[in-house]
Amino acid sequence: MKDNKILELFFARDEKALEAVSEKYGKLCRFVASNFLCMREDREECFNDTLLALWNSIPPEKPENLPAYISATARNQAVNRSRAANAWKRGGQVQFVNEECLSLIADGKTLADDYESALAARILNGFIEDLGEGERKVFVLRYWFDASILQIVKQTGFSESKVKSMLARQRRRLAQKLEKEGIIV
Amino acid sequence: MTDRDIKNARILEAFSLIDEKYIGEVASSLKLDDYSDEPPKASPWKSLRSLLALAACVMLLGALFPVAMQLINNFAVGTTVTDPYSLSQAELDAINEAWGGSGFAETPDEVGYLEGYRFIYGKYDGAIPLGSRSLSSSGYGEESVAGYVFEYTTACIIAVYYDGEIIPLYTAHARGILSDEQIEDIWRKHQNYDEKYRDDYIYGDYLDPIEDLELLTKSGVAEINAAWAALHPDFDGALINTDKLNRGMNYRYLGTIDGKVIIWRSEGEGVAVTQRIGLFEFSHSSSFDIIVCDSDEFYYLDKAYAQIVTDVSLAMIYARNEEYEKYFALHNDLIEEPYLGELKIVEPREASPFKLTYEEQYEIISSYIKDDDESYLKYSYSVRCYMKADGAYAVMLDSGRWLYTQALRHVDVAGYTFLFPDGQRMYIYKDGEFYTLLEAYQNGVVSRDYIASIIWSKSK
Repeated sequence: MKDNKILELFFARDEKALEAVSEKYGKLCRFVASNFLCMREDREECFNDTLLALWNSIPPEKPENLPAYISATARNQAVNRSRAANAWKRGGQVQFVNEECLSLIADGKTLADDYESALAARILNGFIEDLGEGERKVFVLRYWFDASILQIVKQTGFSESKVKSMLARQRRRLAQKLEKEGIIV
Repeated sequence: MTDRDIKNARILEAFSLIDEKYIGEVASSLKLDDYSDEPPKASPWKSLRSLLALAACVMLLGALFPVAMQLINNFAVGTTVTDPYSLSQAELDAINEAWGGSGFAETPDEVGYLEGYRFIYGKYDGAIPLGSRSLSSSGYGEESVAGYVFEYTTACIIAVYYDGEIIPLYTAHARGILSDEQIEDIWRKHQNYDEKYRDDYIYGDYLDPIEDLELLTKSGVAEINAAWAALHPDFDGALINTDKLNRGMNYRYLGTIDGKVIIWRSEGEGVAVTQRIGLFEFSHSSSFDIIVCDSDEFYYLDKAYAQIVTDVSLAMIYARNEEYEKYFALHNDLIEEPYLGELKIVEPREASPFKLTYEEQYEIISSYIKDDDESYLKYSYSVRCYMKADGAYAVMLDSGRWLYTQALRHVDVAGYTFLFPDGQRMYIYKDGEFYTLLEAYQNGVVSRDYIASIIWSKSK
């Protein structure tokens, strides 16, 4: 079913919208959740949470890019679920793969002030825009989808060492860009 | 929050703001045809429809009648669960909702949960390597098995369940239970697992993803849990399946009474409530439930009283609850000073007033775990210190795996009364030996002044 048809079902409050999302994007949701949740039971609950969140948010939301919207919803649900579980079990500390980018600012550098996150995001998106298609996929898979190297290898067909070196280069270049723009001081 | 935490939060926030067009581009290009993750046994839509219906009813009634909402909640989930696996999906949903979203297994003969937030690395000819990530962050270390170095950067240690006992990984290898190839396989999985939970920046190899929690039979889970229980010297009572007690609720283990596990559960906030059951008026300053677990089935106390809890047991549960309420009141409202008169209250869950060096902690933990076969456990312990003088340490050791009986425990020493909220013990450690408070005082290991100086940490 096409995305605009699925949205029409949501706006008509037709329950078939959820069935359509399950069929078309169920695997995507589980893929996203699998990178944040180890337990299969958690992932299934996360999937149900995602459907509920979609049902509650569309309408009024009318996403232009449905797979992106669904991915973001699934990711939020997975992150929240992971943090909630770990808050009880591990003192609230959860770390995800994209935190390796924190090494960008590990050497005594810091963001200029509290209001720089949005600016950093704008520069980050400009950085992604400038990447080639393959590199962009690797970067976004790693740092937004929280995918493992192996998953990236499977998804891109690149070798493991190539993926690792691409990511290392990307981190370096991003750090230089953020520094040049004054985000990292 | 440290500077590093703040910096981390800002950078991570930026990463969460990656433009949706890039996310959509990648999401649309993913090859997921052969991606498999066990589909739900029940239709997710079916679950959702039930959830929506329940949520709609509760929201409507909740908005209009807060008291009615409580009643509806009680009604919705208060049905005695004689066989949770034969309930309708709607009933399961209601129960799961009541449990804060954690799930029941739907096929009890095939699925089990390991208590204590453990997971397994697979099955190897009857041997099951277990990992745990519920342990303290102090557990850094590594061990070398068959030439493979296992780094335990997040206190995730690996032990092996085999033939009714838990043994260290290296022992399993030394005894020939696990071959070199199997150790290598486990190491690869561990490398990948550890990647996600490393406390520092993430580097290193990324290998095959760890297998998800495999499905174990219930009897298999019970065997493993029993073996863990046998390992722990301070274990006091039944193990709680913590995987079922989840999602931001507060739980206390009130004890095992007449063979039934009694759990106290609260959301932490809410209005004062009372509930009359039998001859007793149960009360608490915030919303709470007392739940009875009998043979893996869960009951609210009022329903349990109607069917499986006797009057005598109810009286004991009431007494336990009253004790806990007393502690709760003392802890939250009445005690403002480190101690009140001669009464000392030790709150084990708060930060200890004395910081020990890594070397001090290591010495204490190594002395506590004297058996070489259990030495791997040292990575899982942390030490809280309540007094340090003359080479004597007043300590409590945490392994993070256990829930202690939640009932007030008085310990009278040197004219002081220590009031512990649960079954966890405080020891005096000196010169490689551990003593209870009373033993230490009676044997002259510590003085009365030392006992008097042990600091209650509530106000710290």
